[in-house]
Amino acid sequence: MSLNISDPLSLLAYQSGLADPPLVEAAAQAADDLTAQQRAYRIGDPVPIVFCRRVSGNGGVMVAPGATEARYQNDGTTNALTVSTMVVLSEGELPQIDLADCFIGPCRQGTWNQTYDRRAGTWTPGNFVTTVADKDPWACPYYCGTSGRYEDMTTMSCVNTFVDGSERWEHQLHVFVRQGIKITRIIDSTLGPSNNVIDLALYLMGKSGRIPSTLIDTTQMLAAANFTETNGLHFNGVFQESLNLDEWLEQISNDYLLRLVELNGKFGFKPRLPVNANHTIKTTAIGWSFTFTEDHLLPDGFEIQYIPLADRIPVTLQMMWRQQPESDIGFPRTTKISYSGEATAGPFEQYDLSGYCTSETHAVKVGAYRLARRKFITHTLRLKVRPANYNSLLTQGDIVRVRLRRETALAALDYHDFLYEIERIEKTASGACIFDLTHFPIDAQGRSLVALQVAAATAPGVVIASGRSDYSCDDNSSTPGTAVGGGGINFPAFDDTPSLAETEVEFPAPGTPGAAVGDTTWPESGSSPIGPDVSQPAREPSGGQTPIGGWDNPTDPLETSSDLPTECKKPDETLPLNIPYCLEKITGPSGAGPGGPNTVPLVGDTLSVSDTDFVCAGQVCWSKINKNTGVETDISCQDEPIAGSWDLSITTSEVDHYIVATGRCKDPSTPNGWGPPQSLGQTVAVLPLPVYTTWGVKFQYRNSCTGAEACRIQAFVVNAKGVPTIISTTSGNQTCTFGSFTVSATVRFSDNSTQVVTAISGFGEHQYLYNYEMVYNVPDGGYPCP
Amino acid sequence: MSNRAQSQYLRIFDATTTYARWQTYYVNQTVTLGGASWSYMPFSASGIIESGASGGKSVSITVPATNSVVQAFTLALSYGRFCELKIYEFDSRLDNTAPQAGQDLIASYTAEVVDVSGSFTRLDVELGSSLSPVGAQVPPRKFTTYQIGSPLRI
Repeated sequence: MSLNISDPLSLLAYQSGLADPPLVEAAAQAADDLTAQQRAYRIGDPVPIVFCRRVSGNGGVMVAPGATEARYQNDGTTNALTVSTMVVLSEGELPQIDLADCFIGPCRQGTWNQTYDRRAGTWTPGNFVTTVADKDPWACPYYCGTSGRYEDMTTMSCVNTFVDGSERWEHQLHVFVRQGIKITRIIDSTLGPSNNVIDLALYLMGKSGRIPSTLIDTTQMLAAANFTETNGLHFNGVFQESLNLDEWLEQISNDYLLRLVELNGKFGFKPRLPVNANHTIKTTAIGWSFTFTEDHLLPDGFEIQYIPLADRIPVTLQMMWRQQPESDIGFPRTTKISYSGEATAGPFEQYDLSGYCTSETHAVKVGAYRLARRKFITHTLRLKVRPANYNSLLTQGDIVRVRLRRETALAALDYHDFLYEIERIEKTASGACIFDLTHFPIDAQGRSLVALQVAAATAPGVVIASGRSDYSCDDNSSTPGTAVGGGGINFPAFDDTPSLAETEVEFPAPGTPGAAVGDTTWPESGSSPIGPDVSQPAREPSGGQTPIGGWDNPTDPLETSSDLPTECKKPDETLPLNIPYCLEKITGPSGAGPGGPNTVPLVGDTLSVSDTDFVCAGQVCWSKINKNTGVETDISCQDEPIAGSWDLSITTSEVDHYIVATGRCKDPSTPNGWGPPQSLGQTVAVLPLPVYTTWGVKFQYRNSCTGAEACRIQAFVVNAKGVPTIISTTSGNQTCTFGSFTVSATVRFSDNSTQVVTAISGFGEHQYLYNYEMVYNVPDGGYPCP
Repeated sequence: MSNRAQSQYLRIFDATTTYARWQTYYVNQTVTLGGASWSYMPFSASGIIESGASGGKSVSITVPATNSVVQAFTLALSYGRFCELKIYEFDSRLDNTAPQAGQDLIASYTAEVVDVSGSFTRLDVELGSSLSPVGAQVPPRKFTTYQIGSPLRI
């Protein structure tokens, strides 16, 4: 995740290293205690990297390696203690160390062996100390190590015997490494030790696995390597403190007069000073690549920020570096840097380069650069300009001129006219370009003031004594020329040395034979859920294809749709509005209808919604819809179930209305305390209680012989069957002959049941039906037509 | 009146294969540039920043979340593929139907796909390096049991 925030111009001074805070005031990194107790590596510690190359009597680094194995054994008579120690000197392979460069505490002692990619020395670790009479027992560690693989590491073994009572048996081992790990140097493409910080940066970038080689600008890297080499800015140090790589690259580049840049997405370093073709610092007139004028500026496109006073006031810098004698232990030194007469009594700012800088000139030049920037660079600028040909001309680090006319009076023209170094370019999607610029101060001859200051900075060059006055503890010669031994044991050194299989779990890559995960779609986020993938379960609201099997989500009573389920939407053909209905959770209708028995509410029925059907603590409201007009009217609301249900008694006022039940669960988060409405069901129109024989059929028939007409209204039984219609009739013979005859009608009700209604039937006189119709309000038994 | 026009090209690739080539200027056209075909994809890119300051050097690209785009960037993230954004500038009066031979490359940015987020219809893709200000510790190697066993305890 990244957070994008505005980038105030005031931060530019800090981002560009103009005003970076001094390091923590503390002892120099090189100020190791020589007689400290031997330290031991712990699981999880970073493997140190010794990176140095001693050239022309300068360079190299004193290493205080940690131990991983030890053996302690005393003489049964003299109680002399023999201590064997196995240390890891560095990651990678180091050239053979000279015996004169190996120390126990401050003394050249012991028998040493050095090897690579395996365990040094042939002794077995352990505590074999016994108590000798009349002697003080040795208090040696009991957990002495089990050895390991030491893959791609340079290891050393030191064995030495200490007389009874010696306090030096646990002194820290020191090794002066003149030539560090072998890498391929970028300048001469040769495998060997290097003191070029660019080589170290490339080594760490590669080892970190974070920056693919595609994203490294080797051209810039080579130019930067040549700059540091030409100007004597070398790295001689041990890299053993865990740091963020990005942070380290930023920090170390300042101390080598470089800046970490990212051009076109590729990482590289550029010199912070103008350079000549031969990589020396340029102290001649500086040219510029482009001149910005009013013609290029966009509205509000000029923003200036002066360096704050706190970062401008004179200071004295105390640059710490390391003097590394040819045949003695190195020690930190300081060189004070200030302008004459300024800050003689402070303030002081301390910069510790002693961990990797063995050249006083290097330290002085870095100090001069910091001091000159503080003195001469006064402001930063942000220009927002329209797109022009500089879109493709200018890159970070280029020098540009900004000349803007300032017209404050008719005859008083002035110009903002300075050189700047491009710190940052933002090419926006709209085409406009934003340049963050740092003032590039020059003298009257057009020369960089900062470059002049740095190029002229020279060190006093005085070598001071280390202060050592006694060499009597040295058992080995201080004259180089005798390499240490190469003895060691290949892995596994001992029976209890853990193997790779005992310390590692490696899974076969997904999709490869034997892999627990055989799926090969993991890069695409894996596969879709198992199940058919074409049909959509009924009654689910979403469209489109979904996995077969439906959704297994539990019902959320607060989210139930208010729409009636599709399967309930059966039209009631007897109703003018043809409104669909579905009883759903309504019970209690006693009349029969198209939906079957007990589907039509009648006057006198009690409709109910059970609390087993509507399970939340809530309210049920009843309303009615006029079947002819569609007008909906509230009837009542019941806020809690009574005797397990919410009820409504049907009266005559609900006749010819659909009854609707709507539920709402309690929801304290809403203004009225109820959640969204949920449909609980809807009935067909309410019918009045059946009045038997109210309906009848009016038969009009005629004698086919005499022509006499007769009429009779015949009632029939009408109960809860609904509105009747005549679907067929029969009649007697229309010819004047004798025979049997029947005048009747078949009536069908709303539930499709039928009933035959007969007016007359007989034999002899011929009657036939010539008209019929439904009539209402017929008394039981019927009557002759009026 | 300005005749300056800018077109953006986006390529997803690794050491051996190019997986997608998109351009966002020639609408609904597949154009040829550098001997390769670039299909139309209406993406938008934030400004390209060249800077020495730590952080803030990433480029954001917003793309429609079509199936092919989602798949392309999901795979790029899974496999650590690279993404290259190029911006060309040209005179729109000369030809506005196909890339011009003499157009200027004014910005180029190659990086890894380091973050993808967005909505159901839109993806915001961040291009940068995994050289994060958090993590990415050096020295990279640490002492392990396999390397040094159970070490000496003083």
